[in-house]
Amino acid sequence: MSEDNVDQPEDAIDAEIVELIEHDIDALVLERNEFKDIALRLQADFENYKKRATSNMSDEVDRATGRIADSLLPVLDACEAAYAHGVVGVEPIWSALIAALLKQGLVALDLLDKPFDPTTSEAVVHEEGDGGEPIVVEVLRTGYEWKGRVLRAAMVKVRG
Amino acid sequence: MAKAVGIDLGTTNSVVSVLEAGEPVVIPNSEGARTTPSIVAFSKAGEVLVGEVAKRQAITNPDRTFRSIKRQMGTTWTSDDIDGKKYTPQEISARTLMKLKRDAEAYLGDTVTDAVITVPAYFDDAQRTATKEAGAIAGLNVLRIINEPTAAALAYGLDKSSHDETILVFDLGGGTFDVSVLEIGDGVFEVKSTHGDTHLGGDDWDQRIIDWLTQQFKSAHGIDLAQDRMAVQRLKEAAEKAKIELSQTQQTQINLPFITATAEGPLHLDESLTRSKFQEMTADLVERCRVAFDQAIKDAGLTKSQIDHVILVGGSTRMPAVQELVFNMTGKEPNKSVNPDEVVAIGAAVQAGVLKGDVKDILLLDVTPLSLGIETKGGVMTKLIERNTTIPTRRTEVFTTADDNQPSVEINVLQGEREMASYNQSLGKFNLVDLPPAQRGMPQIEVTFDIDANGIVHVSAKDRATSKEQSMTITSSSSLSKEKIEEMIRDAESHAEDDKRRREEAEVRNNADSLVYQTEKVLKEQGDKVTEEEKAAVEGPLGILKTAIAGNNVDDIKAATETLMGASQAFSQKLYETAARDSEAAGTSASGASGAPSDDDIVDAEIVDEQ
Repeated sequence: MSEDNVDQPEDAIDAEIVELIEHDIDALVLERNEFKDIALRLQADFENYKKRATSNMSDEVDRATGRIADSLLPVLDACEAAYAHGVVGVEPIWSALIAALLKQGLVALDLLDKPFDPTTSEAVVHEEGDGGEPIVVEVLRTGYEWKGRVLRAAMVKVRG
Repeated sequence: MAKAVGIDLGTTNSVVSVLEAGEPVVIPNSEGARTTPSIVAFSKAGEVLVGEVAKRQAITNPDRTFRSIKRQMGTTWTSDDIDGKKYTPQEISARTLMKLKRDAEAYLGDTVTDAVITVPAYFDDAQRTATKEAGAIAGLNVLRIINEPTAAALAYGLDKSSHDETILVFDLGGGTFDVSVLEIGDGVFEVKSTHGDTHLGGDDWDQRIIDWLTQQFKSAHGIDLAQDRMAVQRLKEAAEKAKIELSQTQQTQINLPFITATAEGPLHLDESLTRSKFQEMTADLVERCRVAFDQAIKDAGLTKSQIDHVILVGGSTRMPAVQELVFNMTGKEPNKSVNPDEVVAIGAAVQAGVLKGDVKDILLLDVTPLSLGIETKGGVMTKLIERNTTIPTRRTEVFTTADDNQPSVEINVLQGEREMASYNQSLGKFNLVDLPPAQRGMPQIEVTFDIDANGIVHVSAKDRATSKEQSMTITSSSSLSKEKIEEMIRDAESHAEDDKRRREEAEVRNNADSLVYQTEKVLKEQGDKVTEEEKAAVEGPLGILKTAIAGNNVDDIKAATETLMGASQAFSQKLYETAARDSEAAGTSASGASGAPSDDDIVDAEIVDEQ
């Protein structure tokens, strides 16, 4: 303790102490606000994450079941081709399979003679048209949707 | 809060990734795919199409569809006139970036402004500037352009090493091949050499299979499938699928029914391809990789033994032949735990997070290395907090007593993964005393585990009836070394079967015990309502069960429990019938939900008094 302090009036000492305390308080308030902000942001991020996780979950389920449906598409293709070639006895099997899948959320896309839309079809053959809108003139392989999302784009021939 | 993303703007495919609470996550596009083809098209109607959609209309619109625009970046190339405008490569790339940005924003529900974009290590100034411009046109604030091999190294955290290291990055993508040698020192990456083949990729491997299938079919049927557009498309799909399958299996079946038709009828393609045959027909492609590798090492002035780490990038590195080559060339097992299609984007996201200072927002949190819980009846450990739970955290469960008029409960705080308490580590014990007299199973004791941010564990037990509480604080729960912790976990895994059996035994005993208690209670209270015979029908099995419990044979206990359960239910049925007879109301149905009184309250385990 320095000799000088003894000579200082009590008021000055008090004022010094108060200033130090106020300084501390300011620093603490700043730190508190920082942490409060972090806590609020984290909480918000977490809430948002939860919301997304729930919606993603149902999306994921649809995608997973979609993968199974996707693996059955070659079977549907074979049935369709067999039927087109006049093979006997395919139709009942094909109907049964496609009916079961339709119930679960499969939709066969009907695109013939409609304007070509790359969100649902893939053009593998192109014929020059007369300059009009591109139209699907032949569906070479059927396209399908699963629970509202394109599962496999149709393979088509486009004119135009 | 706007997020910063990492973007792998590839020649064939692009990927976008973001840091979520410090973890990089790949963001799916609006179609649900994690990679987006780097293809841009301007439809006849003037619409801009990006990705898979652009790919699908390519042959109907070849002059306005742009693939592999990355090959033109940094040059003076422009497109032809498209609706009155000639596009530069950066304007076209920007469209891909815009889709990635838009889809990321839709997925995150948040704006995306800042981005780190990757480029090949050999990109010059003009190419890097063009990439940055593309970002700006897309409305992104490009925090930095980083090299693809560097990004891959970041994804594996290789920048964290304490000494200088040499890293080889082997990048075999859809259409290009790059080998880069990096040196890391003091957290800074330097590219020592880079070599490759700008026209070598997974598509070349696919083509070999397509050619082989076409040849097979021609030999068998005299028809050239290459002339049939649709057959070619199906062959392409089947070839890629077969290639992918052969990375997992030794042999695959390629089955394409009704591939084509003649006047005689339809024809089918059905071939079997083995992995060794596939490797035989693609050996020269693998050889091209080896040549580039050798050159890169030579250019870096190194020998292969000086390589510390090897990283695989690009989907085609999944092929066993490629992995074998890498191993033979480097003598090292490559790092491939991060998805090779996504590793560059992930590394870019890591960099974005660092540059944006995201790490500052998160107080790096710890996890509990081992599960925490207490000992409950039968000597089992009942977990309250699972291992790897992020802390700070707090968990409360309600327990009860095991005996009538039990005056206290002993809380034995355990740490570990074994099912039986004695095989775990006891961190401490304390008692909660002066419990009011009550039948077993009645009291409600709240046990709370509270771990603070420093890993200090506070355990408390509170009797809901009296509000009496006792607790203890454990500071040393996180003092086990990493090796010890891993050992304990391994131990638990190897003893999992044994432990499960022991726990089941304990549970069988506990259930039997409860049943004895309940049955004796019912007999005592309701015994006078039934005949001696009916009572004996229950007392018999009861006696047998009690003997079984005293013995050691679990199967005996199980069997005796079931017998008593049956007898007890019949007994209860009798009670209800008697009650129905005694009641005056005619037509009161005598059906009853029979069965022993169930223990389905909130309490899931009982704490014994060890004293």
